[in-house]
Amino acid sequence: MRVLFTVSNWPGHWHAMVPLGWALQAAGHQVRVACTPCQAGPVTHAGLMPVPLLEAMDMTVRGRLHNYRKATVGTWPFATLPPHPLTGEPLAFLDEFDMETWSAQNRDWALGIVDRSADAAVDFARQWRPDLVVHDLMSLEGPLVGGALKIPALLYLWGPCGPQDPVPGAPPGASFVPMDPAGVFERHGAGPMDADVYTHVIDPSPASVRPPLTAERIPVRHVPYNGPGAHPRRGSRRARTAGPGCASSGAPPSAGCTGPRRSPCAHRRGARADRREVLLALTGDDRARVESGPPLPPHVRLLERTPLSLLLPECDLVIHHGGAGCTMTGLAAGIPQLAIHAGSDQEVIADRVAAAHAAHSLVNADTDAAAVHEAVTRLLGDPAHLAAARRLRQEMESLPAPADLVPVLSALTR
Amino acid sequence: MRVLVTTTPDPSHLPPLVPVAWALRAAGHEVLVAGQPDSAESARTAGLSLVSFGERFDTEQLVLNSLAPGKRPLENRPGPRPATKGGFGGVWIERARAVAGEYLAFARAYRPDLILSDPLDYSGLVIGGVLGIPAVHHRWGVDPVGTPRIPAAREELADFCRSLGLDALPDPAAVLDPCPPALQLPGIRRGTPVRYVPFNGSGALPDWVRAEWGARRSGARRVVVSLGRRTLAYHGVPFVRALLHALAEVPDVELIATVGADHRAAVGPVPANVRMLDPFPLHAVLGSCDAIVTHGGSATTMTATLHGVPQLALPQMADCFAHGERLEACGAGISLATVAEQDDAAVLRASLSRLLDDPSYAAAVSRLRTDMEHMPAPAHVVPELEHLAARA
Repeated sequence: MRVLFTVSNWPGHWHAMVPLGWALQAAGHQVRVACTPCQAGPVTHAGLMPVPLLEAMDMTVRGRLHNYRKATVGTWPFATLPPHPLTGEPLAFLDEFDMETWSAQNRDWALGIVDRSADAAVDFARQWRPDLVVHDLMSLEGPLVGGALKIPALLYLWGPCGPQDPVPGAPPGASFVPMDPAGVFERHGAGPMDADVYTHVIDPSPASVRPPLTAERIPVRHVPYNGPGAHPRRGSRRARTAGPGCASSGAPPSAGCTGPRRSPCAHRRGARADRREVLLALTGDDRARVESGPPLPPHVRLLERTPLSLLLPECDLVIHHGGAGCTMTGLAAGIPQLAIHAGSDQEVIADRVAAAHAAHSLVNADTDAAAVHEAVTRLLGDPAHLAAARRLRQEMESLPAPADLVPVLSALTR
Repeated sequence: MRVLVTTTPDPSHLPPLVPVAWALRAAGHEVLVAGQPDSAESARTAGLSLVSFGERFDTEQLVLNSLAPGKRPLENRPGPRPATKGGFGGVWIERARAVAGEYLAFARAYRPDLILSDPLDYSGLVIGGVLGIPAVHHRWGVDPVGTPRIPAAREELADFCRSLGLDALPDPAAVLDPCPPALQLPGIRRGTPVRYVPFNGSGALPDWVRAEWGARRSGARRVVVSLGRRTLAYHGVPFVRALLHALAEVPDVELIATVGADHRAAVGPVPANVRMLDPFPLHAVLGSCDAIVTHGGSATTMTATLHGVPQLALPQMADCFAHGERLEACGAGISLATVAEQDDAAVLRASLSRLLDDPSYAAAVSRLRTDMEHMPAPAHVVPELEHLAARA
C-alpha cells in the first residue's frame, strides 16, 4: 500500500513516527513524507523520502508570538520579557512590538500559507493516491487529506499528550488540535475540523500515562529515534565502570522562543552537588550558548549530536525540558526523569509521568539550583522512582512494535 | 536483541543493508553500525547510529591512484575473465585483519546478539566466531566476491584466527540474498531470500517528477542513463559525453541522465532530447521508463530489475561485470564489457535499439521482477534472525 505521512514543521513532532515509516518500507509498502522544505533534510536523514511541498510559519517565530501574547495578558512566568517575536532580540519594553498592528497587517499572509499548503497536500495526494495517511498532532494537512480523499487518517502522538488534553494555563476550551482559520476543510469537502476529526490515534504512551482519547486508541511500542548520530563509544569496558552518570538534554530548542532561560547549564550545580558525572547533550548552537556562560565544573562532559537513546541506558537519571522525545526516550530506558518544563504540552507530559512517580515535574521559571539539587537527590535517593520507571518501561515493552502495526494499518484500508 | 552492523568503508556498501536494519529497529531491536568514517554519512542519511573506528579508508582515492591519467578503470585493466573470477577482493581480506581487533574489543563491551555485515566484511565473521554469536552476511545483489572469496579469506586469515582462539574463519550463519536465484551466480551458496527494498541513501522526490505527473508523456521512449556515483569521477567525462551523444541518435528516445551539477559543465552541451539532472532516487522514476543504461552496480541493477526495466550494462570495474553478465544470461539486458564496444557509437546505438525494440528483454526482466516481488519482505526475515540469535 501507499502511505502518506504529513508532518508539521518541527522534527520533534514527527520523530516518533519514523520507526513506523521504516516498518512499512521494510514490509514492502511505499512511504512518502509531505513536509515543509526545512524538514526535507531531517526527513532525508531519517531514511525516508520527503516531498517538500507544504508551507508553514517558522516555528520559532510562531513560538515567540505565542510567548509575547502571554506577556501581554500577564501569563508569561519569567521575570524578564520574552524576546522580540520577529528578531529574537531581547525586549526592554512590551511596546517595542505591536501585536495588534502586526496581526492585522499579516493576516492575509498567514492565511495564504495555510491555504497554499492545504492545496499542495491535497493535490499531491490526488496524484499519488495514498491508501492511508499518518500525521502528527500539529499537522492540519493530515486530517485534511484523509477527509478530502475519504481515506483513513491516523494521528500519531509524539508522547503522552493528545487532542483531548486542555492546554495548561490557557482559557477553557483551548486544546492542542490545530485550527482551520482559512476554512480549507470546507473548501476541500473534508467536513469540520475539530477534535472529532481523529478516528484512530496511534499512542506510544505506556499504559499508566496514557492521555485521554475519544478516538480508537492503537497502542504502539515507542522505538526511540532521536535523529542519527554517533555512538560516544562509552561502551568499552573501562568506560562502563566509570560510574553512574546523569544525562541532561541540552538547552531546549525552545530557548530560541523564550530567550535565554534556565537551561541545564544553570542547573549543573544542582546535579554536580551529588558528585555524579553529568553528560550534557548538545545540538545546534548549544555549545556556543554553554561556552558563553561561566566555566563548567569538571564533572560535566559535553556530548554533541549524540542520540539520547544511546546515552540513557547507561545513566541513572535524565534531566530535560519535558519534551516528548526526551521523555519517551527516558521511559524506554527505564530511568527516573527530572522535567523542568516551560508549559504547554511539556507540562502535560511532565505532570503525567510525575503522577506515575517516574519523574519530578518542575516549572522552569520557578526553579533554581537548590530546587534541582533537591529533586535530583530525591529522584536518585528514593528507589520508588526507579521502580516506577522500570514498571513503565515494562509496560512499553509489552506493547506491539511498530512492525506489528503494519497489518493493523493494512486492515483499515479494506 | 542487540545487532551490530559491520560494514566495509565505502559510502555505497551500507545502504543495501538499511531496510533489514530498519526492519530490526521497527521490531523493537537495537541496531548500531560499526564502521570507518567513510560510512558515517551513509549511516547518518539512513537514520542509523554509527560507532566510528580508525581513519578514512577512501576507496575513491585508492582507485584514482591506480588509474593512468585520463583513463577510466576499464581502460586500465580489463574486466575479470572466467579464469580470474573471484580473484579480486584481496584488499577486503587484508582490511578484516586490520580492523577485527578493535571491533572485537568494542563488541565485547556492546555484547551484540547478532552481527550483520556487508558481503565484503569478513571481520564480522571473526567477531561472531570469537564471541560465539551468529554473523550474517547480507549480499548486495549478484555476488562474485563476498561468498566466493570466503575460502581465500579463510586461508589468508588462518594464523590471525588461530591467534584469537578460532580453528578457522567461520562461514556466515546465514546469507541474506536480495538477488532472485535466476539472476544470482549459478553454483553459489543459496541464500535466505529477502525482498530488495530500494534505498540508495535517501533523497527528496524531485520537483520535475511531480510536475510531470499531471502532464501527458511525450510519445518518445524514455531511457534513464545512470552510471553510479563514480563513473564520472573516475576519468569518465569523455566516455559519458560520447555515450550521451551516441544514444541520443537512437530514433524516438528521450534520455534522462544522472549527471551532477559538478560535472555538467565538463560534459558540455548535449542534444535536445537529453536532460542531465542531479542524481535522484531511481525508484521514483523507473516506473515511467522503457530502458536504463547502467554501470552494472548492484543497487542500480537491483532497483531497475525490481521495476521490470531492461538494462544496458556498461561495467567499469569490480562486481559490475557480474551484474551485466548475469542480466545478459537471463535475457534481461545487454552487457558491453570491453573498451572497444563501449567506445563504439554504432554498437551502443544498436544495443539500446535492440533493448527497446525486442520485447523478449522486457519479458525476461519482468519474470525476474515477479521473482523479486515474491521474496519475503525484510520485515519477514526478522524472525529468522531472532531464531539464529536465540539458538547461539
